Amino acid sequence: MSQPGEITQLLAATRAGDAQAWNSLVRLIYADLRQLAHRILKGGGRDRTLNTAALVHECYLRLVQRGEATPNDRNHFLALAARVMRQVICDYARERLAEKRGGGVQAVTLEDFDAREQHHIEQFVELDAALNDLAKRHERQARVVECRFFAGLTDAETAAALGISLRSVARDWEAARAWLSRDLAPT
Amino acid sequence: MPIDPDFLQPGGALGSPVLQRALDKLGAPPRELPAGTRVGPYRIVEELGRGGMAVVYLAERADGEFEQTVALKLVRPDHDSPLAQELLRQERQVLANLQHPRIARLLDGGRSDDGTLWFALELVRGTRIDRYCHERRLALAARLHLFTQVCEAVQFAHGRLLVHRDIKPSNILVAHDDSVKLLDFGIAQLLAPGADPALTTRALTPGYASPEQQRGEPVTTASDIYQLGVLLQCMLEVKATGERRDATATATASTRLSPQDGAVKIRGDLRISRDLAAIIAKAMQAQPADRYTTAAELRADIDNFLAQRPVIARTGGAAYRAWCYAQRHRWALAASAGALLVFVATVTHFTLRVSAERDQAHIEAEHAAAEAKRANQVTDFLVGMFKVADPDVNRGDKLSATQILDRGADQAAQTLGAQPSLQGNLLQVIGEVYTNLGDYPRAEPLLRRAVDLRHDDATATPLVRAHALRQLAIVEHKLSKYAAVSDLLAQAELLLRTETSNEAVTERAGMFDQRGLAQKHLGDLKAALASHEEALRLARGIGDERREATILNHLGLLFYSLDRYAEAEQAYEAALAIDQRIYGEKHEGTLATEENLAETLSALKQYDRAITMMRAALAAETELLGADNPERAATLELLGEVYDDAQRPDEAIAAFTEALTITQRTLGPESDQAASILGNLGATHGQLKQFAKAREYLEQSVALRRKINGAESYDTAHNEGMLAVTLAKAGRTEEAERLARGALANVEHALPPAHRYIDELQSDLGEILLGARKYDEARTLLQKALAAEEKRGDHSSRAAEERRALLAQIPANASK
Repeated sequence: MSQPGEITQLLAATRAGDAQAWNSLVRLIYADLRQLAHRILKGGGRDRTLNTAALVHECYLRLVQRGEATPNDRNHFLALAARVMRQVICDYARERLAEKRGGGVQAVTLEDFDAREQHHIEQFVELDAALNDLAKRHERQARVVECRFFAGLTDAETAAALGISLRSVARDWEAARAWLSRDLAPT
Repeated sequence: MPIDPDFLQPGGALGSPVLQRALDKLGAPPRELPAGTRVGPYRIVEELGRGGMAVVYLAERADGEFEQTVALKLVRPDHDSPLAQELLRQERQVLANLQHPRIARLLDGGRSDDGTLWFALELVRGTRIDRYCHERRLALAARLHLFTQVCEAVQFAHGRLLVHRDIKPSNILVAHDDSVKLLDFGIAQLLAPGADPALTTRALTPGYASPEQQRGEPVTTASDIYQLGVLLQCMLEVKATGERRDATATATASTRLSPQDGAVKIRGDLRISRDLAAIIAKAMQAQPADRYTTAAELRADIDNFLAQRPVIARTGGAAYRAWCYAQRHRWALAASAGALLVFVATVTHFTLRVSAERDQAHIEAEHAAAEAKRANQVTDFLVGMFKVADPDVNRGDKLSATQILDRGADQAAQTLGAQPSLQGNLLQVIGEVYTNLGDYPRAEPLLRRAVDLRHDDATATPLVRAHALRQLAIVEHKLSKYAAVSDLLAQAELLLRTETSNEAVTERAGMFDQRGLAQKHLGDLKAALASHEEALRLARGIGDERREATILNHLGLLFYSLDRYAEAEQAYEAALAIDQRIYGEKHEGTLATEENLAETLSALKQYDRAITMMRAALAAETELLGADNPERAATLELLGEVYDDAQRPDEAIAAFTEALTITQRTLGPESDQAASILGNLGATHGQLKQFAKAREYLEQSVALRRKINGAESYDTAHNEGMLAVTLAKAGRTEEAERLARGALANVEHALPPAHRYIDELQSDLGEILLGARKYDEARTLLQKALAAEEKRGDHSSRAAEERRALLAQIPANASK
């Protein structure tokens, strides 16, 4: 369905501020992530520990192989993939949290969580909201958190993905972390 | 809820189990069907919910035969074989015949053209059983009544040779009239016919699967019994908690018993919780044959418990072991690999950065670095695992810790001989975990071996070596081998003297602090003060607040020993402010500081405030550590001292006696703590004029002191003074005088001129000399002792009154 170079075009349009392009892009990446995750989980068997960074990189490689993206898009792709990862995991966490707070109808929840998972679910939801606030004040810091925390990118990869200096990445990351943990501290 | 900085680490999302879940969902997308879609004879109305492998819709009968609303569950199977289809057909028939009021009926099922399996189930409205318990804050008995309903339903199905395979809270709904419905009976089986391990695993719910299910072995009714055990555990723990410390800090829910966090809290008294723990343990035995044979038997044992009859689970003996084993196993399952494998992997991965110690009851992070924090969590997690191992904490605790750690140590010794550095890491961590658990005799040989391995290991950095030395020093200190402590720390200091990294400075601060403690115990208070102050300077220099709080505590203790109570109070208040900020209210570190502060308040005569603070700390500590723990014994001793100061001797003796029993049981017969408690018991009995009893305790105390602290230490001398007075009361005047004189000389030598111990010994000797009619010297000594007490600003203290009373006994005409 996707045209050769579609990702490249969408990336360009996204950079130009086209929200529609972003949505299309997310859908494309999402579908690929989904397939990849499925394969990894099925094939994994025992060791199902996923490395998100590896997942994101592999996802990108596939796009390149299919001619949907060019190698030049890699950095932009990584930043976008980081956002997608955030969306995937935070959406999921929000749904679960909503279920937990919601009423009880048969089989509304088909999964059970232990205490740690429950804790993480709450943390993801909080973090997502806080990142939205942060983005209003320091857009770049929020992007750095997406790359570092959600996609597991290294400092250097993050710098390349966002087109900023290594020092800025380090500074933004520390500042964002400090702000996020303080901001969210109980009043 | 705040974002935990430990959570917000680079790649943190990747380490979260939630990511797995989210990707699971991505990996197996359930189909989305619009309203009106036909599935078999049903028409979709709306979606009720979705999970990793299934979607549930509200649907109604569409073929006009009759009106019926159902829950329609759609599952995309991972397998597709004719055999599966045939099995599905057969099983469906069996399940359709399974009619029980507690089981949601399977009405129909089939496979649509695209291979999706669908099941029409009786529509049940209700609340998940765990949520139902939690939200209504159900009492224990009510929870157990719900549970017995589940057992009944399971028993009924088992009688028809049907296994559920996936009993978990989300599969059990409770209606408003407290009636229970079990969902999805047999569906797991339908999804994995032929017990293909890969398929079985996929159909499992992590954390609820029995060991044999985890291994992909054929599943029997025993698996359901296991899952009933897990369910009962869930129903009794209710409250979802985050990190271990948060959990204990907010432990308000009635029950909690999660191996994931370290908190154990069961409503009711210990006997009840032990019985319930035993029931859960029996249900969750690793070997199917060791579990309850039937759900009915499990149910009967719950009835036994409710009727306060002895439960079967405990009459079989070895209940604790069973419990621990189940716990241990559950941990292994949760990690989906062998416990040891996980243990070794965890340990080797984190060891170099792991360092946690319990020091004055502070579990403190050594390094401020984020990775070290994470590593500490691992240690905390391990320790938490062990603490959770038995609700009657200590005995079971030790068993479980022993089982896991000993195996780890054995394994390290047997298989890692060729890898000294790995072996060193492993022994180091196991030793430190033992230290954290307060099992110093077990920790010592492991840490000693680790030190040797580090020494011979060319790849070990000075920091690693120094750390190993200090950890051993901590244990030696706890074992009252103070000379060894100095020696080890001197070696460590040599290694790090020129290092300037934060880690090295933290380590050095720890060393100076530890050295100060040892110096204090050996009686060199001046040197101890200098060491602590150097430690404080180092810790503050790098902003290591945790370390700072610990050192401030030690400084407080030292000031207290020097009778500088105002300074002691100041140090403790400063430490407490840090503790409360970084640990929260209910944490061992905070509690320890509060206890110290309480002791100081007592010295400042604020008894009521001191006792209140102390008792609260004691209660919290029992909750955290269990009843049988040396730390708790130390707190009890302090409480006894406060009672004694507050002139409440009976309560003091009760506290001391309990403290002594716990101390001897947990630290062995010879410990500093035991000597101290014995001395206190002697002193309090002495005040009650029960001299024979007092003498008995004091003799034991002095013997221990001489052995541990040395013949000339001030601690020994202090107890000798008290013993001498009781000897004099028994008419052994000469012996008493000799003892008291020697002791006085020793304290005068060891302590600064105005120290309390000195005038106490002057008073003791004065009292003895008075009895021996050596009035002149008695008067001089008693006057000196009284003056010293008065100089402290304490004209009305008990000591001052006693000394005046003794002086008054000196005949007026005996002035020459």
